[in-house]
Amino acid sequence: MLPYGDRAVLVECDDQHPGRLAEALRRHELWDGAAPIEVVPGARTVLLTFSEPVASSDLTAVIERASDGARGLLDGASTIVEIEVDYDGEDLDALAEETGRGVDEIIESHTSAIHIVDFCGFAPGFAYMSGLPDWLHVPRLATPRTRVPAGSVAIAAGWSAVYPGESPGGWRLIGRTDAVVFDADGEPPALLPPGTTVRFTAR
Amino acid sequence: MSLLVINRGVGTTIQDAGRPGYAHLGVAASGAVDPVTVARVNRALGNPAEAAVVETAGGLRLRAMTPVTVLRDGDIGPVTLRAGSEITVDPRPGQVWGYLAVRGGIEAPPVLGSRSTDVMSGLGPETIVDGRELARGADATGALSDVTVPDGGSPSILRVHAGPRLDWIVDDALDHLIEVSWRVTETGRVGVRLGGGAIARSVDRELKSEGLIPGAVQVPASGEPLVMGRDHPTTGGYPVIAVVDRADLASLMQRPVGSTVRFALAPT
Repeated sequence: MLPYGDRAVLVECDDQHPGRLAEALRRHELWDGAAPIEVVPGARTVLLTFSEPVASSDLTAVIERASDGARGLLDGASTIVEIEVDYDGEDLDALAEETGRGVDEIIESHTSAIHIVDFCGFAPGFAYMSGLPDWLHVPRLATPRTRVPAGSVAIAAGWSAVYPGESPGGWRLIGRTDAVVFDADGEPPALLPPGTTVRFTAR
Repeated sequence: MSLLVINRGVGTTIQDAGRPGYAHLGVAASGAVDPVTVARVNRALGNPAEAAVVETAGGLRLRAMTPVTVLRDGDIGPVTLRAGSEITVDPRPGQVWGYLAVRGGIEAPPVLGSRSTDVMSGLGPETIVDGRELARGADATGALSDVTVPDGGSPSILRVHAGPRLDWIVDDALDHLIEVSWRVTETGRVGVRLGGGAIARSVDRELKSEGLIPGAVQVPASGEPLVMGRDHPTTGGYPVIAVVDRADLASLMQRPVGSTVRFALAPT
Protein backbone atom coordinates (compact mmCIF):
# COMPACT_ATOMS: atom_id res chain seq x y z
CA MET A 1 0.00 0.00 0.00
CA LEU A 2 1.41 3.39 -1.01
CA PRO A 3 0.58 6.78 0.56
CA TYR A 4 -1.13 9.19 -1.86
CA GLY A 5 -1.21 12.51 -0.02
CA ASP A 6 -2.86 12.55 3.40
CA ARG A 7 -6.35 11.43 2.39
CA ALA A 8 -5.75 8.64 -0.09
CA VAL A 9 -3.83 5.40 -0.49
CA LEU A 10 -2.90 3.35 -3.52
CA VAL A 11 -3.28 -0.41 -3.11
CA GLU A 12 -1.10 -2.49 -5.42
CA CYS A 13 -2.97 -5.51 -6.70
CA ASP A 14 -0.25 -8.17 -7.05
CA ASP A 15 -2.21 -11.18 -8.34
CA GLN A 16 -5.58 -9.54 -7.76
CA HIS A 17 -7.80 -8.30 -10.54
CA PRO A 18 -8.05 -4.50 -9.98
CA GLY A 19 -11.70 -4.24 -11.05
CA ARG A 20 -12.73 -7.13 -8.81
CA LEU A 21 -10.70 -5.88 -5.84
CA ALA A 22 -12.28 -2.43 -6.27
CA GLU A 23 -15.73 -3.99 -6.38
CA ALA A 24 -15.00 -5.81 -3.11
CA LEU A 25 -13.56 -2.65 -1.47
CA ARG A 26 -16.69 -0.74 -2.42
CA ARG A 27 -18.81 -2.87 -0.07
CA HIS A 28 -19.85 -0.64 2.77
CA GLU A 29 -20.05 -3.35 5.42
CA LEU A 30 -16.23 -3.53 5.30
CA TRP A 31 -15.76 0.01 6.51
CA ASP A 32 -17.64 0.48 9.74
CA GLY A 33 -18.83 3.97 8.85
CA ALA A 34 -15.53 5.26 7.46
CA ALA A 35 -16.10 4.21 3.83
CA PRO A 36 -13.97 5.82 1.14
CA ILE A 37 -15.48 8.52 -1.10
CA GLU A 38 -13.89 7.02 -4.20
CA VAL A 39 -12.62 3.51 -4.99
CA VAL A 40 -10.80 3.82 -8.30
CA PRO A 41 -9.10 0.86 -9.92
CA GLY A 42 -6.27 1.36 -12.39
CA ALA A 43 -4.44 -1.20 -14.48
CA ARG A 44 -2.55 -2.62 -11.48
CA THR A 45 -3.79 -0.63 -8.49
CA VAL A 46 -6.85 0.54 -6.57
CA LEU A 47 -6.97 4.13 -5.30
CA LEU A 48 -8.97 4.78 -2.12
CA THR A 49 -9.88 8.40 -1.31
CA PHE A 50 -11.26 9.47 2.08
CA SER A 51 -12.86 12.64 3.41
CA GLU A 52 -10.45 12.81 6.36
CA PRO A 53 -6.72 12.13 6.73
CA VAL A 54 -5.95 8.41 7.01
CA ALA A 55 -3.01 6.28 8.07
CA SER A 56 -2.34 3.39 5.74
CA SER A 57 -1.58 1.14 8.73
CA ASP A 58 -5.25 1.44 9.77
CA LEU A 59 -6.40 0.07 6.43
CA THR A 60 -4.36 -3.13 6.19
CA ALA A 61 -6.98 -5.38 7.80
CA VAL A 62 -9.83 -4.00 5.67
CA ILE A 63 -7.86 -4.49 2.48
CA GLU A 64 -6.98 -8.05 3.40
CA ARG A 65 -10.63 -8.84 4.05
CA ALA A 66 -11.59 -7.24 0.72
CA SER A 67 -8.90 -9.24 -1.07
CA ASP A 68 -10.45 -12.45 0.17
CA GLY A 69 -13.82 -11.15 -0.94
CA ALA A 70 -12.44 -10.30 -4.37
CA ARG A 71 -11.27 -13.88 -4.85
CA GLY A 72 -14.82 -14.97 -4.05
CA LEU A 73 -16.18 -12.54 -6.66
CA LEU A 74 -13.84 -13.97 -9.25
CA ASP A 75 -14.81 -17.55 -8.43
CA GLY A 76 -18.51 -16.90 -7.97
CA ALA A 77 -21.00 -16.69 -10.80
CA SER A 78 -21.33 -13.04 -11.76
CA THR A 79 -23.70 -11.61 -14.32
CA ILE A 80 -22.29 -11.49 -17.81
CA VAL A 81 -23.01 -8.41 -19.91
CA GLU A 82 -23.37 -9.33 -23.58
CA ILE A 83 -22.48 -6.77 -26.23
CA GLU A 84 -23.63 -7.35 -29.80
CA VAL A 85 -21.08 -6.19 -32.35
CA ASP A 86 -20.99 -5.67 -36.10
CA TYR A 87 -17.40 -6.69 -36.78
CA ASP A 88 -16.71 -4.34 -39.68
CA GLY A 89 -14.08 -2.06 -38.11
CA GLU A 90 -11.75 -0.01 -40.30
CA ASP A 91 -8.63 -1.56 -38.80
CA LEU A 92 -9.56 -5.27 -39.10
CA ASP A 93 -7.66 -5.89 -42.34
CA ALA A 94 -4.52 -4.16 -41.08
CA LEU A 95 -4.73 -6.16 -37.83
CA ALA A 96 -5.07 -9.41 -39.80
CA GLU A 97 -1.93 -8.54 -41.71
CA GLU A 98 -0.06 -7.41 -38.60
CA THR A 99 -0.89 -10.50 -36.54
CA GLY A 100 -0.67 -12.97 -39.41
CA ARG A 101 -4.11 -14.31 -38.54
CA GLY A 102 -7.28 -13.96 -40.55
CA VAL A 103 -10.08 -11.50 -39.86
CA ASP A 104 -12.31 -14.47 -38.98
CA GLU A 105 -9.81 -15.66 -36.40
CA ILE A 106 -9.68 -12.19 -34.80
CA ILE A 107 -13.48 -12.11 -34.54
CA GLU A 108 -13.58 -15.70 -33.25
CA SER A 109 -10.99 -14.86 -30.63
CA HIS A 110 -12.74 -11.65 -29.57
CA THR A 111 -16.13 -13.35 -29.22
CA SER A 112 -14.89 -16.45 -27.41
CA ALA A 113 -12.82 -14.57 -24.80
CA ILE A 114 -14.18 -13.73 -21.35
CA HIS A 115 -13.47 -10.02 -20.85
CA ILE A 116 -13.34 -8.35 -17.44
CA VAL A 117 -13.43 -4.58 -16.89
CA ASP A 118 -10.14 -3.68 -15.19
CA PHE A 119 -10.90 0.04 -14.80
CA CYS A 120 -12.55 3.04 -16.43
CA GLY A 121 -10.90 6.23 -17.63
CA PHE A 122 -10.35 8.50 -20.63
CA ALA A 123 -14.05 9.41 -20.74
CA PRO A 124 -17.14 8.66 -18.62
CA GLY A 125 -18.03 4.99 -19.07
CA PHE A 126 -14.93 4.12 -21.12
CA ALA A 127 -14.05 0.66 -19.79
CA TYR A 128 -10.66 -1.00 -20.18
CA MET A 129 -11.47 -4.71 -20.57
CA SER A 130 -8.77 -7.37 -20.25
CA GLY A 131 -9.12 -10.87 -21.71
CA LEU A 132 -7.54 -10.70 -25.18
CA PRO A 133 -5.07 -13.46 -26.12
CA ASP A 134 -1.44 -12.28 -26.21
CA TRP A 135 -1.28 -12.31 -30.01
CA LEU A 136 -4.00 -9.63 -30.08
CA HIS A 137 -2.06 -7.28 -27.80
CA VAL A 138 -1.43 -4.62 -30.43
CA PRO A 139 -0.17 -1.06 -29.92
CA ARG A 140 -2.31 2.05 -30.33
CA LEU A 141 -2.18 3.88 -33.66
CA ALA A 142 0.94 6.04 -34.03
CA THR A 143 -1.35 8.92 -34.96
CA PRO A 144 -4.74 8.92 -33.22
CA ARG A 145 -7.89 9.53 -35.24
CA THR A 146 -9.41 12.95 -34.61
CA ARG A 147 -12.89 11.43 -34.63
CA VAL A 148 -13.99 7.98 -33.51
CA PRO A 149 -17.78 7.43 -33.60
CA ALA A 150 -19.76 6.51 -30.46
CA GLY A 151 -20.23 2.76 -30.15
CA SER A 152 -16.93 1.90 -31.84
CA VAL A 153 -15.50 -1.37 -30.52
CA ALA A 154 -11.72 -1.22 -30.40
CA ILE A 155 -8.63 -2.92 -29.06
CA ALA A 156 -5.19 -1.66 -27.99
CA ALA A 157 -2.43 -2.42 -25.48
CA GLY A 158 -4.08 -5.68 -24.38
CA TRP A 159 -7.52 -4.20 -23.75
CA SER A 160 -10.86 -4.00 -25.50
CA ALA A 161 -13.12 -0.97 -25.20
CA VAL A 162 -16.35 0.56 -26.46
CA TYR A 163 -16.23 4.31 -27.15
CA PRO A 164 -19.11 5.81 -25.10
CA GLY A 165 -19.35 8.96 -27.21
CA GLU A 166 -17.71 10.46 -30.25
CA SER A 167 -14.15 11.48 -29.42
CA PRO A 168 -10.61 11.46 -30.72
CA GLY A 169 -9.00 8.06 -30.24
CA GLY A 170 -5.95 5.97 -31.00
CA TRP A 171 -7.36 2.46 -30.53
CA ARG A 172 -7.71 -0.02 -33.40
CA LEU A 173 -11.30 -0.22 -34.58
CA ILE A 174 -12.69 -3.74 -35.03
CA GLY A 175 -16.46 -3.10 -35.00
CA ARG A 176 -19.38 -1.15 -33.66
CA THR A 177 -22.29 -1.73 -31.30
CA ASP A 178 -25.61 -0.10 -30.52
CA ALA A 179 -25.10 -0.76 -26.81
CA VAL A 180 -25.23 2.46 -24.75
CA VAL A 181 -22.26 2.19 -22.39
CA PHE A 182 -22.79 5.52 -20.60
CA ASP A 183 -25.97 7.46 -19.85
CA ALA A 184 -25.64 10.05 -17.08
CA ASP A 185 -29.42 9.87 -16.47
CA GLY A 186 -29.44 6.06 -16.40
CA GLU A 187 -29.49 3.94 -13.26
CA PRO A 188 -26.79 2.74 -13.15
CA PRO A 189 -25.10 5.32 -15.43
CA ALA A 190 -22.42 2.96 -16.75
CA LEU A 191 -23.07 -0.39 -18.44
CA LEU A 192 -19.51 -1.58 -17.75
CA PRO A 193 -18.31 -0.59 -14.26
CA PRO A 194 -15.03 -2.09 -13.03
CA GLY A 195 -15.25 -5.81 -12.32
CA THR A 196 -17.98 -6.49 -14.92
CA THR A 197 -17.68 -9.70 -16.97
CA VAL A 198 -18.31 -9.11 -20.66
CA ARG A 199 -18.92 -11.32 -23.71
CA PHE A 200 -18.97 -9.89 -27.22
CA THR A 201 -21.22 -11.57 -29.77
CA ALA A 202 -21.08 -11.15 -33.53
CA ARG A 203 -24.22 -9.80 -35.20
CA MET B 1 -35.86 33.60 -15.24
CA SER B 2 -33.64 36.11 -13.59
CA LEU B 3 -30.36 36.85 -15.40
CA LEU B 4 -29.64 37.22 -19.11
CA VAL B 5 -26.11 36.57 -20.39
CA ILE B 6 -25.06 39.68 -22.35
CA ASN B 7 -21.41 38.62 -22.69
CA ARG B 8 -20.40 35.11 -21.67
CA GLY B 9 -16.82 36.14 -20.91
CA VAL B 10 -14.04 33.58 -20.69
CA GLY B 11 -14.28 30.10 -19.18
CA THR B 12 -17.71 30.78 -17.71
CA THR B 13 -19.55 27.76 -16.29
CA ILE B 14 -22.07 26.84 -13.60
CA GLN B 15 -20.43 25.13 -10.62
CA ASP B 16 -21.40 23.70 -7.26
CA ALA B 17 -19.75 21.27 -4.83
CA GLY B 18 -19.29 18.69 -7.60
CA ARG B 19 -20.17 15.01 -8.02
CA PRO B 20 -17.76 12.90 -5.97
CA GLY B 21 -18.26 9.13 -5.97
CA TYR B 22 -18.17 8.34 -9.69
CA ALA B 23 -14.42 8.41 -10.43
CA HIS B 24 -14.42 4.61 -10.92
CA LEU B 25 -16.71 5.18 -13.91
CA GLY B 26 -14.35 7.75 -15.43
CA VAL B 27 -16.30 10.73 -14.04
CA ALA B 28 -14.28 13.37 -12.18
CA ALA B 29 -15.81 15.10 -9.15
CA SER B 30 -15.56 18.49 -10.92
CA GLY B 31 -17.03 21.38 -8.85
CA ALA B 32 -15.93 24.96 -8.22
CA VAL B 33 -12.19 25.61 -8.45
CA ASP B 34 -12.38 27.59 -5.19
CA PRO B 35 -14.94 25.84 -2.95
CA VAL B 36 -14.14 27.89 0.18
CA THR B 37 -14.92 31.11 -1.67
CA VAL B 38 -18.12 29.62 -3.07
CA ALA B 39 -19.25 28.50 0.39
CA ARG B 40 -18.53 32.01 1.71
CA VAL B 41 -20.58 33.86 -0.92
CA ASN B 42 -23.40 31.33 -0.60
CA ARG B 43 -23.48 31.78 3.17
CA ALA B 44 -23.76 35.55 2.86
CA LEU B 45 -26.74 35.07 0.52
CA GLY B 46 -28.47 32.66 2.89
CA ASN B 47 -27.87 29.78 0.47
CA PRO B 48 -26.70 26.29 1.40
CA ALA B 49 -22.96 25.87 0.78
CA GLU B 50 -23.60 23.57 -2.18
CA ALA B 51 -25.89 25.97 -4.11
CA ALA B 52 -24.76 26.43 -7.71
CA VAL B 53 -22.93 29.63 -8.68
CA VAL B 54 -21.40 31.11 -11.83
CA GLU B 55 -17.63 30.72 -12.18
CA THR B 56 -15.76 32.84 -14.72
CA ALA B 57 -12.26 33.75 -15.76
CA GLY B 58 -13.59 37.23 -16.52
CA GLY B 59 -15.48 39.45 -18.91
CA LEU B 60 -18.89 38.07 -17.92
CA ARG B 61 -21.76 40.55 -18.23
CA LEU B 62 -25.29 39.80 -17.08
CA ARG B 63 -28.58 41.73 -17.12
CA ALA B 64 -31.21 41.28 -14.42
CA MET B 65 -34.57 40.43 -16.03
CA THR B 66 -36.36 40.60 -12.69
CA PRO B 67 -35.14 41.99 -9.36
CA VAL B 68 -32.47 39.59 -8.15
CA THR B 69 -30.15 39.54 -5.15
CA VAL B 70 -26.56 38.64 -6.00
CA LEU B 71 -23.06 38.64 -4.55
CA ARG B 72 -19.73 38.63 -6.33
CA ASP B 73 -16.58 37.35 -4.67
CA GLY B 74 -14.80 40.52 -3.58
CA ASP B 75 -17.99 42.47 -2.77
CA ILE B 76 -18.72 43.41 0.82
CA GLY B 77 -22.24 42.02 0.82
CA PRO B 78 -25.28 41.09 -1.29
CA VAL B 79 -26.90 43.68 -3.55
CA THR B 80 -30.32 43.57 -5.17
CA LEU B 81 -30.24 44.41 -8.87
CA ARG B 82 -33.25 46.22 -10.35
CA ALA B 83 -34.83 44.72 -13.44
CA GLY B 84 -32.85 45.90 -16.48
CA SER B 85 -29.63 46.73 -14.64
CA GLU B 86 -26.39 45.02 -15.60
CA ILE B 87 -23.45 43.58 -13.67
CA THR B 88 -19.98 42.49 -14.77
CA VAL B 89 -18.11 39.64 -13.13
CA ASP B 90 -14.32 39.38 -13.10
CA PRO B 91 -11.84 37.55 -10.85
CA ARG B 92 -10.24 39.53 -8.07
CA PRO B 93 -7.01 41.23 -9.17
CA GLY B 94 -4.25 38.65 -9.39
CA GLN B 95 -6.64 35.70 -9.47
CA VAL B 96 -7.89 33.48 -12.28
CA TRP B 97 -11.44 32.61 -11.20
CA GLY B 98 -14.25 34.95 -10.14
CA TYR B 99 -17.69 34.05 -8.80
CA LEU B 100 -21.22 35.38 -8.89
CA ALA B 101 -23.76 33.81 -6.57
CA VAL B 102 -27.49 34.42 -6.66
CA ARG B 103 -29.86 34.23 -3.71
CA GLY B 104 -31.60 30.87 -4.19
CA GLY B 105 -28.72 29.45 -6.24
CA ILE B 106 -28.49 29.02 -10.02
CA GLU B 107 -31.07 26.55 -11.28
CA ALA B 108 -30.02 23.87 -13.78
CA PRO B 109 -30.86 20.19 -14.14
CA PRO B 110 -28.44 18.21 -11.95
CA VAL B 111 -26.35 15.51 -13.65
CA LEU B 112 -25.24 12.68 -11.36
CA GLY B 113 -26.29 14.83 -8.43
CA SER B 114 -24.41 17.99 -9.40
CA ARG B 115 -24.90 21.22 -11.36
CA SER B 116 -21.19 21.49 -12.15
CA THR B 117 -20.04 21.60 -15.78
CA ASP B 118 -17.05 19.31 -16.30
CA VAL B 119 -15.19 20.98 -19.16
CA MET B 120 -13.24 17.83 -20.00
CA SER B 121 -16.06 15.27 -20.15
CA GLY B 122 -18.84 17.73 -21.01
CA LEU B 123 -21.06 16.44 -18.20
CA GLY B 124 -23.32 18.90 -16.40
CA PRO B 125 -25.11 22.10 -17.48
CA GLU B 126 -24.50 23.29 -21.02
CA THR B 127 -21.75 25.81 -21.59
CA ILE B 128 -22.91 29.36 -21.00
CA VAL B 129 -23.47 31.31 -24.22
CA ASP B 130 -24.58 34.86 -24.99
CA GLY B 131 -28.35 35.19 -24.80
CA ARG B 132 -28.84 32.34 -22.36
CA GLU B 133 -31.06 32.99 -19.39
CA LEU B 134 -29.96 31.79 -15.99
CA ALA B 135 -32.78 30.80 -13.70
CA ARG B 136 -32.81 31.42 -9.99
CA GLY B 137 -33.30 28.41 -7.74
CA ALA B 138 -35.27 28.14 -4.53
CA ASP B 139 -32.38 27.07 -2.33
CA ALA B 140 -32.17 30.09 -0.02
CA THR B 141 -33.21 29.40 3.54
CA GLY B 142 -31.07 31.80 5.58
CA ALA B 143 -30.89 35.55 6.03
CA LEU B 144 -28.71 37.90 3.99
CA SER B 145 -25.49 39.02 5.63
CA ASP B 146 -22.26 40.76 4.79
CA VAL B 147 -19.35 38.52 3.83
CA THR B 148 -18.19 37.36 7.24
CA VAL B 149 -14.75 35.98 6.57
CA PRO B 150 -12.24 38.70 5.74
CA ASP B 151 -9.88 38.05 2.89
CA GLY B 152 -6.90 36.42 4.54
CA GLY B 153 -4.95 36.44 1.31
CA SER B 154 -3.37 33.48 -0.34
CA PRO B 155 -0.63 31.45 1.38
CA SER B 156 2.75 32.22 -0.16
CA ILE B 157 4.03 28.65 0.22
CA LEU B 158 1.73 25.74 -0.61
CA ARG B 159 1.81 22.50 1.36
CA VAL B 160 2.42 19.20 -0.41
CA HIS B 161 2.29 15.60 0.80
CA ALA B 162 4.37 12.75 -0.57
CA GLY B 163 2.80 10.83 -3.44
CA PRO B 164 2.89 7.11 -4.28
CA ARG B 165 5.56 7.06 -7.02
CA LEU B 166 8.64 8.63 -5.46
CA ASP B 167 10.56 5.56 -6.63
CA TRP B 168 9.98 6.63 -10.25
CA ILE B 169 12.01 9.80 -9.88
CA VAL B 170 15.56 10.48 -8.78
CA ASP B 171 16.22 10.41 -5.05
CA ASP B 172 16.18 14.14 -4.38
CA ALA B 173 13.20 14.95 -6.60
CA LEU B 174 10.90 15.84 -3.72
CA ASP B 175 13.62 18.23 -2.46
CA HIS B 176 13.76 19.64 -5.95
CA LEU B 177 9.99 20.17 -6.00
CA ILE B 178 10.35 22.17 -2.79
CA GLU B 179 13.49 24.14 -3.69
CA VAL B 180 12.43 25.37 -7.12
CA SER B 181 10.48 28.56 -7.52
CA TRP B 182 8.00 27.22 -10.09
CA ARG B 183 6.18 29.33 -12.64
CA VAL B 184 2.59 28.70 -13.74
CA THR B 185 2.83 28.13 -17.51
CA GLU B 186 -0.74 26.97 -18.16
CA THR B 187 -3.85 26.91 -15.99
CA GLY B 188 -7.43 25.73 -16.28
CA ARG B 189 -10.11 23.66 -14.62
CA VAL B 190 -8.38 20.46 -15.78
CA GLY B 191 -5.06 21.30 -14.18
CA VAL B 192 -2.02 23.53 -13.80
CA ARG B 193 1.27 23.12 -15.65
CA LEU B 194 4.43 24.34 -13.95
CA GLY B 195 7.71 25.39 -15.56
CA GLY B 196 11.01 26.90 -14.58
CA GLY B 197 12.58 23.61 -13.58
CA ALA B 198 12.42 19.93 -14.40
CA ILE B 199 12.23 16.87 -12.18
CA ALA B 200 14.35 14.01 -13.46
CA ARG B 201 12.73 10.61 -13.65
CA SER B 202 14.72 7.51 -12.81
CA VAL B 203 12.30 5.18 -14.63
CA ASP B 204 11.63 5.91 -18.30
CA ARG B 205 9.00 3.32 -19.13
CA GLU B 206 5.35 4.24 -19.04
CA LEU B 207 3.51 3.67 -15.78
CA LYS B 208 0.37 1.54 -16.06
CA SER B 209 -2.62 3.87 -15.67
CA GLU B 210 -3.68 4.52 -12.10
CA GLY B 211 -6.15 6.70 -10.24
CA LEU B 212 -5.74 10.49 -9.96
CA ILE B 213 -7.15 13.01 -7.49
CA PRO B 214 -7.31 16.83 -7.49
CA GLY B 215 -3.92 18.16 -6.41
CA ALA B 216 -1.96 15.12 -7.62
CA VAL B 217 1.43 16.27 -8.97
CA GLN B 218 2.30 14.21 -12.05
CA VAL B 219 5.73 14.17 -13.65
CA PRO B 220 5.57 13.57 -17.40
CA ALA B 221 8.63 12.77 -19.49
CA SER B 222 9.46 16.49 -19.84
CA GLY B 223 9.93 16.69 -16.05
CA GLU B 224 7.66 19.73 -15.80
CA PRO B 225 5.01 18.98 -13.16
CA LEU B 226 1.31 18.85 -13.94
CA VAL B 227 -1.04 19.42 -11.01
CA MET B 228 -4.51 17.91 -11.41
CA GLY B 229 -7.45 20.30 -11.12
CA ARG B 230 -11.20 19.72 -10.60
CA ASP B 231 -11.94 18.32 -14.09
CA HIS B 232 -8.90 16.02 -14.09
CA PRO B 233 -8.70 12.73 -15.95
CA THR B 234 -9.67 9.99 -13.46
CA THR B 235 -6.71 7.78 -14.39
CA GLY B 236 -3.33 8.56 -15.89
CA GLY B 237 0.01 7.03 -16.76
CA TYR B 238 2.50 9.57 -15.37
CA PRO B 239 3.98 8.96 -11.92
CA VAL B 240 2.42 10.99 -9.10
CA ILE B 241 5.18 12.16 -6.74
CA ALA B 242 3.25 14.54 -4.49
CA VAL B 243 -0.22 15.83 -3.68
CA VAL B 244 -0.98 19.52 -3.02
CA ASP B 245 -2.81 19.84 0.31
CA ARG B 246 -6.56 20.04 -0.18
CA ALA B 247 -6.74 23.40 1.61
CA ASP B 248 -4.07 24.94 -0.66
CA LEU B 249 -5.16 23.64 -4.06
CA ALA B 250 -7.54 26.54 -4.77
CA SER B 251 -4.73 28.99 -4.06
CA LEU B 252 -2.59 27.26 -6.72
CA MET B 253 -5.43 27.16 -9.25
CA GLN B 254 -6.18 30.85 -8.65
CA ARG B 255 -2.65 31.90 -9.70
CA PRO B 256 -2.42 33.38 -13.19
CA VAL B 257 0.02 32.21 -15.84
CA GLY B 258 3.42 33.76 -15.14
CA SER B 259 3.05 33.84 -11.36
CA THR B 260 5.45 31.90 -9.17
CA VAL B 261 4.69 29.05 -6.80
CA ARG B 262 6.71 27.60 -3.93
CA PHE B 263 5.96 24.33 -2.14
CA ALA B 264 6.81 23.01 1.31
CA LEU B 265 6.38 19.51 2.67
CA ALA B 266 3.34 19.36 4.96
CA PRO B 267 4.03 18.13 8.47
CA THR B 268 3.01 14.49 8.88
